[in-house]
Amino acid sequence: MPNMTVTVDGKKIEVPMGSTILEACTAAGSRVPTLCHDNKLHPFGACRICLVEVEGTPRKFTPSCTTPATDNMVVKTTSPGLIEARRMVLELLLIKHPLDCPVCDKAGECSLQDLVHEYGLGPSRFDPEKGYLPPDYESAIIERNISRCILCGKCVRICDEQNAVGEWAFTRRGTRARISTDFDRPLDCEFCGECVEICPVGALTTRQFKYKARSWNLEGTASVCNYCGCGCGVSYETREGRIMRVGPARSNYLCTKGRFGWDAVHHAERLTTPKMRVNGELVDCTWDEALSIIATNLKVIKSRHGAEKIGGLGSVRTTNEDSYVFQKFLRTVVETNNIDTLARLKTPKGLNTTFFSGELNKMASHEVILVLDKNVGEINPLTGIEIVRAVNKKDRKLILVNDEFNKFNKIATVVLPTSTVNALENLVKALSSGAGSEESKRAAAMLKAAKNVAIIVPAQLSDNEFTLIRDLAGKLPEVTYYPLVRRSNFQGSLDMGVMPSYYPGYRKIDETSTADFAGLWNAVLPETTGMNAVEMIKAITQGKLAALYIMGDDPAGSDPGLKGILQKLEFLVVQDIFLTETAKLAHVVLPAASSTEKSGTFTNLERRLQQVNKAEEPIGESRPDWEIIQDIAKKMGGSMKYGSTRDILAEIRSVVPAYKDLAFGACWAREKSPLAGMADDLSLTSDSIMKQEVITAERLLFSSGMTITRSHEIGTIRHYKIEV
Amino acid sequence: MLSDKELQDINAELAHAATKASASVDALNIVQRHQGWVSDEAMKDVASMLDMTADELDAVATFYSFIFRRPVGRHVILVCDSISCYVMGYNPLLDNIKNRLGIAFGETTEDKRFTLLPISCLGACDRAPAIMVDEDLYGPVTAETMDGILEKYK
Repeated sequence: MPNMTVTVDGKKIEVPMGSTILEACTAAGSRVPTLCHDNKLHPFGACRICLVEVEGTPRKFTPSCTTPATDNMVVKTTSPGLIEARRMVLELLLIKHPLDCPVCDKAGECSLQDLVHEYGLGPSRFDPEKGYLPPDYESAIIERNISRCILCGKCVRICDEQNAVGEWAFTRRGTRARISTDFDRPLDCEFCGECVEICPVGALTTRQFKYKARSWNLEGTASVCNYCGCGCGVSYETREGRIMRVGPARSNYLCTKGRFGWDAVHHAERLTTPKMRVNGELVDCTWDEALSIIATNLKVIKSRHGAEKIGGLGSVRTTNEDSYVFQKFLRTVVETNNIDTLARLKTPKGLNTTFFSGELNKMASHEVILVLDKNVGEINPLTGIEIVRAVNKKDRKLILVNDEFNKFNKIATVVLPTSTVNALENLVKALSSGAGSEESKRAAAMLKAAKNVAIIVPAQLSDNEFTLIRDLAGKLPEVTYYPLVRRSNFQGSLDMGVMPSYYPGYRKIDETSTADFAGLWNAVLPETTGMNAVEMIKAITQGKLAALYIMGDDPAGSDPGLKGILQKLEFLVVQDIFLTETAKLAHVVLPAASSTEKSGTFTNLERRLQQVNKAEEPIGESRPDWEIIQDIAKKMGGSMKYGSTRDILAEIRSVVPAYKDLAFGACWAREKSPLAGMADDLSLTSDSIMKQEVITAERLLFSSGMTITRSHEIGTIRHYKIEV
Repeated sequence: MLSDKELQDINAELAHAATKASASVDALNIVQRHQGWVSDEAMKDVASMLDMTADELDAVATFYSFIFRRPVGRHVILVCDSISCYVMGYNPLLDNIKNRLGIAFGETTEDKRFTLLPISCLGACDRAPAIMVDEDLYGPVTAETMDGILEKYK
């Protein structure tokens, strides 16, 4: 795009054609105050605070956020006249504003407060009209205080433009205008809190942060959300070492789980001490007792039954470092390859072999987006948001497969109202022979005409669907896959080799790789591959598995049918942050630190390496998972000597080629995996275990395994029933 | 529930609307013509026909003073309270109407014949003070002419 020259406050700068005056001013380093403007939204021009002077125009002042700059424009962002005009805007806003800053949670980070302070208003020339409406406490999570509202419309617009939900709207007109839901009912939305985040004043606030702290007392720690595979950057805002609220790390989107669900880690039922089973009861014990019992029992079982009768189930929520140490402990100290995660049962076939996710923020670079899973916005909210952004901001075309109705129907170009498998069959047919229904033909024509296509791959796939997606992709010039991944560090756990047949970095276990890793780890390694999660569960019933070490997973909570099976174990160790249904069956329970209480790295569904940083001290006597396992390894005669997660990451980088030079925030390239393009299937299937979809909250969107059930805030969401 | 006739009329409007949402004012008018006002239920039904949220449609409805969001009488009297009418005798005219009907702004007579509402500028400053009954504009209105006007609406 060609550039144009704009002079702002005497400074000449080049900006791309089509820039607004505000963008030119920002580029020139001149600050123009705004209230209703946000870069995420279309220009709106409601507040009139961003007025500037443009030389040679008949208008006295020009709103900079909505006016396009032109070549050779000369702009002044400040002058006595402009200051007077802006003061007038503020004076008008304050007619109704209650000025209750001392009790308002927004104080200290309020745009209106900052501007009034900056422009130094004196007594108003107008009669005030305060106390317009009482605060609205009826909704879950979000409180609305209409009197503080300045009607900038940011909440209305972000809910529509970015989320495609449209929960807020302006109702009434003139002096009685206000933002509300339809007929002022309580909120019944996604509860993402984006409207609260974007509100420039205290009109929308959260109950979670109410009267908790002043913004200037908060210290931010950048970290990563632990609820789904998107791995959104969060900022844990702490006061005196305790989290008060969570915000986005870089003004990125957060969903309700990311923004409000963190309080699960503050739940009163957190495990604070190790426990051991004495006379059938779990009782508190010391770390030394617990670790000694585990080391002794594992050693005894190993010598009596053999190492192949011991297994480990890892977590898809722990850090890469935890997972790496876990599998290394089992392989080098226990000497078994019985290592797996149950989450592989809930994974699309072909993930990490055929389907490698594209980068989410590049969604809009695809001309057509084909959504094969109607629950995309529920399973991976950020993926859903990126689709809405691509459609609303970049006019991308959306083909939606949905046999029900949800928010994506409103923005879809073509809807195929059928099941995923039917839709795929129809599309393949329409692409090859031109036959099919009107919708299929339209969709096929769009796909054919597109330079590149993004395909949202469902969270679970049948063999048939898998083949059909490959057939379909084969007929298109350029395809980027976006597989849905439920758990936060699923990718990392796979990368770290928490699988029975692969070493870290997807090295298939065979003689050569075993010799390599034996050298790298300076240890004796088991010669055969191990049992996968399904086989391990089966082995328990057959008496072929005597001991199981579960780190950060709750099989009995997700599938009550597993309870009876786990009880058959001779020895069960569970390491978790809560006394889960599984932990209740254990012989030893170890309290782990939560993801807010430890450092390390996560790898999200885009294969992006992200830093998890400690924001709080571990609760009670809980400790990071890797530390616990290292201590057990030491007691069993292993030689782990990691001083911190940095040492572990350094070793990971030396062992896993994809991580070798991987910078924080970068995604590893698919070519780095030895399995890329191979026929290997990293998903598991079972007829008997984990058959049910675990929805632990009102909606799939608010669920995330058992952890989220401990979140007080998410628990307050109840669907509003419309009574007619 | 919208009646078949309402559905038919709204669909006729939708047939030549550029976007579904652009037919919102017409659709609301159709409902009001049939039901006299627009209830919350009707709002939801219309919204789903237009692929809008009830919230978004309510924003349109509450913006316009001619869309009634509460039940009204058979006839609605709108009294202009803008500056020209105010100067030309709004207060005595309003008192006159209030006394005749025994109702204040926002109220409906017991026989459900009239509802009295304020309105800003009717665009008839040359005929101030002006009122509007249903879709008919009157002005200048005096105590004497008021009788004849109200008689027309049963």
